[in-house]
Amino acid sequence: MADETCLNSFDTLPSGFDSGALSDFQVPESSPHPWTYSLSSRTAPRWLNNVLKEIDALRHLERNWDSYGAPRVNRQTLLEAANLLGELARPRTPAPSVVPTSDGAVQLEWHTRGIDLEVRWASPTIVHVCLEDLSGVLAPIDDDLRYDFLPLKAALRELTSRG
Amino acid sequence: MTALPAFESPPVTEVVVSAQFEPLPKFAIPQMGLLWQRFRAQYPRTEQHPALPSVVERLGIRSAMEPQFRFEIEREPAVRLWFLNETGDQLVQVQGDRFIRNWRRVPNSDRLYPRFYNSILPRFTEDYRAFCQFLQDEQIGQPVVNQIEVSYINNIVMGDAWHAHGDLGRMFRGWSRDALLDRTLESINLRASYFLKDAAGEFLGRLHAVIQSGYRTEPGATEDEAVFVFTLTARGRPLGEGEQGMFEFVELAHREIVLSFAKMTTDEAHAIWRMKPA
Amino acid sequence: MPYVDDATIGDEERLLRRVRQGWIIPDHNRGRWRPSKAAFQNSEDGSPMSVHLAAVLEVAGLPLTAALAGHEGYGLVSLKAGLVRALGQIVVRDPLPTDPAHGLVVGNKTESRRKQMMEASEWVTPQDRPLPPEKA
Repeated sequence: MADETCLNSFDTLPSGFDSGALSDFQVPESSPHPWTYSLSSRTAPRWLNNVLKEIDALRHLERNWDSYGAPRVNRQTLLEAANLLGELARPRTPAPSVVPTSDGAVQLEWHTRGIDLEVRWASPTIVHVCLEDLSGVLAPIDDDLRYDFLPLKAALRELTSRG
Repeated sequence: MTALPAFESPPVTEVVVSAQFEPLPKFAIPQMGLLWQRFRAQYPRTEQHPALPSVVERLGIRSAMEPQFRFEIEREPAVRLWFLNETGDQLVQVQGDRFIRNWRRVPNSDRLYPRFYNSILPRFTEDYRAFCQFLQDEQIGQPVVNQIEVSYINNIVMGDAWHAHGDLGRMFRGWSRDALLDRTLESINLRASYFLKDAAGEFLGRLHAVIQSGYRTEPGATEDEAVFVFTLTARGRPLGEGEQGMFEFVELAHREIVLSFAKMTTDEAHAIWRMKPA
Repeated sequence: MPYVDDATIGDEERLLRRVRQGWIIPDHNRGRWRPSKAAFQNSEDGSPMSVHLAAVLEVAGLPLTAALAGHEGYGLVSLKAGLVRALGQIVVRDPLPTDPAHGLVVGNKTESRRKQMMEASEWVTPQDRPLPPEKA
């Protein structure tokens, strides 16, 4: 959402940007999302809410949560992980394991359907992807992704399609 | 390269230029206070605000403009600092992973849009370099910029050309002047996103266009004025290494925004804003 | 001070590593619960990966699960010292006042090395419960 600071008094719908723009956008009462009650337009997997709760729960981990001095998990990376799932997970995508790492990052892991896929947020903007396809259909990946997530999207699509 | 269109009286009310970089853990609130000492003469006022989340345009992931989930983030110390000039129309915003420079039109001011190459870009450059020099002097580290963003926010005020939000088609192309429904349009919120690519055709980022209906209350006015808030934001990665790569994107972004602004608005609107021949 | 590999720790000696519940993941490809690679990392501040030397516990007459004291609910895996050395690591003793069996596995832990540690690790605390059905 746009910055909340009121500068000029505009009553409009939120722009959806966090650009640092100062124009005030107050949310009037608006109609609910047009697909709220539709069954046929469902695009989220059934496990999504539970996994989002697991991700959310990681923000409560205190320092030394791993018994080896780990810092608290970076909150921005939790948001990025949640948004990625919301964007790329489909109804037949299997649920990932949600794993905090000792350097304060979060990792999503899938080990099923012949695919080992690990997605770890090295920072809020850089994602490390490890992919191994036991069937050999997908080429292995062990790389940092920053701007191009197509390889990750392709991996999840393949994983979903094997369900 | 196509010459950029220009308007004598554009409806722009705010311009934002933002550089997002890999987080600098040593750039925290105390260091922001020290930074202000360097900006204080020009920006004597400060405000504190919550930090903005980081945003990256990615290929394969839908537009970064609509993050789907927002957690209840525990209240943390305010970590975005504003430095404002006396009149409040120029400001710098800093946080651990962002440097932002704003110009905005203040109410009841006759100050005009100060122009991108005459003022917006030079002032961003000057302040950004001062910021980098501070980071170097304090041994905090240098910014590794991962996203740049340029936004133009325009307020198209109701006037002779249009009288209600249903007159959208008189200001914006691609929208029929015939009403969609035989009913009064109450509000509208249109969003479009387009890919930005470099000269080699590689993904750079996105151009976002948002048209929203709204109302403006000017101080002293007895009635609200209907407006369209038309926001164009170009966000993407640097075009190369270092500062030059960042500035190349800033200029590309400005160009894309100006061209898009002209293409998305009607000839009738251009006449109101006094478009100059190319 | 740079670490020096301790030759008195034989290659066959078992190194024990605690694994918190969140690091024990279902692996349907391998048909078992196993530790995530995340369990085999250096600490955030760069300090090496902590382990416990099984031999020290055994000499003290303690069960291997003594390494879990104060960490109920954690799992415990073992790795052979020779394996981690083959992955470019150094193994040193690092006894602590409250933890005489404490040791360190020193070295850069790339994705590949962590994967190999994970695959070679064996459960000291059995993880026999059935895998959950795959959720989709």
